[in-house]
Amino acid sequence: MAGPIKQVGPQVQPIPTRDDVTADVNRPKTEGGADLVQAISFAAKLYGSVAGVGGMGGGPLGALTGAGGAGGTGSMDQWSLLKMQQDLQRESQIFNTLSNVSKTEHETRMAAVRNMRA
Amino acid sequence: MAAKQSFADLLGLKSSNAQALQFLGEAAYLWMYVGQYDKASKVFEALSILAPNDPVGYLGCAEIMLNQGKFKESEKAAQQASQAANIARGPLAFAHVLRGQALMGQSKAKDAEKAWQKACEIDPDGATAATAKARIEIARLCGKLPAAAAAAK
Repeated sequence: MAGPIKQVGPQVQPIPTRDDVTADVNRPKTEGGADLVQAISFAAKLYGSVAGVGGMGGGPLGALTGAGGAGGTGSMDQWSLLKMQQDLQRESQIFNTLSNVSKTEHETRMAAVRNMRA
Repeated sequence: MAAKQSFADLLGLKSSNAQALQFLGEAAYLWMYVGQYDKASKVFEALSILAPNDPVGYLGCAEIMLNQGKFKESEKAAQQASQAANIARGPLAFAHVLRGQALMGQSKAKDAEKAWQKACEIDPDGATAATAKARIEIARLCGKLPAAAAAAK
């Protein structure tokens, strides 16, 4: 059980709310911790794959984790989630744009074909 | 004249030669859409010989080469398409879009942007202009081109 928590390391706080900021970070080990750790690992992987960074807490935001103290932890998670949301929105925007581009380009190709003369 | 008619007949089309060429064009694009680039390429090459004044053969070749990562050859084919005699505004703009993509493939982002802007100028109200703008926007979102505010300075 302790393995996955250590693997995520101090960069990721497994505490999602501000109220729990003073709680022991190891607490999830005994109270359904496996699920929580799994969920965090999944989110970290997702974030890493979307944003192209190592995981939650990486990059410039990682510095805030240690500096923020107890009050900064919840805010840190919100920052990460906000960043993740922005990345997903950006990817979604690119996908939608490319989809429209594909449709329009197909119509252009077919228009060129229909204009062919002998 | 008889040879031309037999060409259409050969394809099972009891009508004009133009329809036979259109049939070939659609078939080539179909091959391209399913990823059969070799087959599509042969048909597009044939089209550029059968209808050298039409841009379809060159446009198709440019797209196939783009998909195969042959960016220099693609740029050349797109250039040939843009010089075709019977090219309408829409396909001409599309040729510049393809040229932009080929340039982007060669890491010439600034030149690619110019090609896409040229496409916008050629057919400002057409759908291809919208795709050219979209490609510029995507390049910006992906960090290949500077952001719009920075580009304006």
